[in-house]
Amino acid sequence: MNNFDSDIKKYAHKTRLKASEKAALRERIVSYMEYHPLPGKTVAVEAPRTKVPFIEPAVSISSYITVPFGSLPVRIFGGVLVVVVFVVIPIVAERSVPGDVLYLVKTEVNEGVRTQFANSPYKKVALETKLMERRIAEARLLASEGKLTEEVEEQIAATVKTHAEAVQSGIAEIEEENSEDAAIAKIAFTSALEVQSAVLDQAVETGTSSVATIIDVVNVVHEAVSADENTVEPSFTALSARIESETTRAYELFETVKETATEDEVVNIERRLSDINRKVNAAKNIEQEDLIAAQESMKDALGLIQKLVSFMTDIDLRESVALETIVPIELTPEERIGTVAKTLSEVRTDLTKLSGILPRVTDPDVAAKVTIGIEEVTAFVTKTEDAVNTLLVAEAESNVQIANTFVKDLIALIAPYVPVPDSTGDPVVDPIIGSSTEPLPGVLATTTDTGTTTDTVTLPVEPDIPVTQ
Amino acid sequence: MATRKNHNAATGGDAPGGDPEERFLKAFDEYSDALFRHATYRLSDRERATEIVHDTFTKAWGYLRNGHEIDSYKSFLYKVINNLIIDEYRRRKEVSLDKLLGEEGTDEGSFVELHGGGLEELTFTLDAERVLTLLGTLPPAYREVITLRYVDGLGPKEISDLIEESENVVSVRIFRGLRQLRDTIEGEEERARQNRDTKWT
Repeated sequence: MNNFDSDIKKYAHKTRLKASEKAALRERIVSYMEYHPLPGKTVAVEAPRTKVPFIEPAVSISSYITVPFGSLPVRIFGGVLVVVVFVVIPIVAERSVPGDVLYLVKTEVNEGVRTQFANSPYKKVALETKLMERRIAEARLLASEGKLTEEVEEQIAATVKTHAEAVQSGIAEIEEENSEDAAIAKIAFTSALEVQSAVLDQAVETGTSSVATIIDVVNVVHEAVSADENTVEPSFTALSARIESETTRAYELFETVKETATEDEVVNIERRLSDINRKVNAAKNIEQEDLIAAQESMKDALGLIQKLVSFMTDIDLRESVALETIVPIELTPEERIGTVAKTLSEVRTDLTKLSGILPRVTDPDVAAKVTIGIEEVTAFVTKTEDAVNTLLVAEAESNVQIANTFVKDLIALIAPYVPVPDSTGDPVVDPIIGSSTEPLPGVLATTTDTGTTTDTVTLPVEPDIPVTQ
Repeated sequence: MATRKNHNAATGGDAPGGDPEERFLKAFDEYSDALFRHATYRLSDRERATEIVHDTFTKAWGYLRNGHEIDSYKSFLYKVINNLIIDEYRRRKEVSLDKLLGEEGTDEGSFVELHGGGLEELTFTLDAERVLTLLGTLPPAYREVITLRYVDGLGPKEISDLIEESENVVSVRIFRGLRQLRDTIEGEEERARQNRDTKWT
């Protein structure tokens, strides 16, 4: 082997993973292994780093068993009292809301202990987000029962603000060590705020008390977090890694939710998982050509998967708001083409109507506008069909939308020339157009329960728009 | 299943027997850098190379989950990563390896190309560091074999098994790839010389 071999090897070995990169990659692989165990092995899922472990009151009961007076009944009484004070009360307090006797135990003792144990900024961010969500849940519960007074609402709003500020401070601490992690923590917090905002809007509709002050606080925080321009954009790799671990968690949760969810809920969640996977794959496909668009898409996907996880883990959330509100369905390209085809069919129907009414238009200006309008709409119909045939979905949607808006405007323009129904109330059947069950705008038209008359004219059959695979 | 704390394998990745998870992670510790290096030189993209390495190991894990055993992690992982890189080329719509072969012909190569002397002479004239920086300019088929041979240190037989071509084809591609690199380097030096001459006249 001459020097070339050894030299090239020497230089090539300078290309390697950094220690942090290798550690992060190893972490991802281990996470993957844990969520996809080998057959016959049980899963020992380590809690994700952002999940806060439940902290029992850190008190050893046994240290309080010995009671000064020494008699057995007193000792037993003392033991029971200790158990009640240090175990039962904190557990019961968890369900309390503002105004309850044990509410202070919940917020000052239980949550106080947990806050002390959140000894890293990541844990702090997760815990404070959870506490903020709790306060909002308490407000919603009180609002639904008509018990949320103005004073209590203001108190809760102030506490929500405090927790939100603590989250932002935690994110700022993370940013000092790792700006990408901070950016991703910000996405998680924004998702949590959007979910809470949707839930509060729902509470406004169904509750008997106002939650306006709390909504304002959440919106102000959301705007502040979204408007922060100092955040570094997380890299595509970092986003991919986080999405992968969140998606794995989502699928694991889904397996659990399936056991208790209704068939509709299972179908809905499955659909969202599929939509998110499609979004991620589309982002990976365009990464080379348009990195910025790919990163934006991945950020959206991360937000959606986090909201879906919230929906699956929080029973209260599932009962309060529809999944569509927080994780809307994303239509597949085929579904979008289907919607375009349906709209296109409506446009053609309207064009036929226009052509039928045009001879009746006596105003030459209106007639000229409608004639030109029909030509332009027809041009957009052709563009839509071309876009559909070449699978340019966005272009097809845009063109059909323009065509539809335009033709509706033209229909409104010729409305005065559409025959008015006679005094018997039966719809007038135009021998050219036939009749429609849908009243034209601006026209006093009626529909009969029996539908169309026997004098309807058969409209041309619209060809099916092919969807190229 | 072994917890995160127990993920320090007692046996080597390619040693038979032992806990499969420990072997798998040992293979990661042993080969991840080499695979990353290979992918970086093949794709000229560090971030993408990291993802390819991740996908290589998750695919290998999927293979184990399907009940298969991996006797030699080294050859298995190189096979998987090579296939992923070929998929990547196709995704980027680079010239297909088949098309490249079609253009240059599938002949077995000349006497000079095959019988080592030409190769030895060629490598003496090349600057190793410069070759590495110019690897990305090579067509995929040449880049593949040169990376495997000189960056990964695989022998002709190993490369032949990996890419499923004869050893003759492997040798010819290595020779032609290095020759193309030499021509590129000489072309750059000539242009630099001409620029200097132009400046001084």
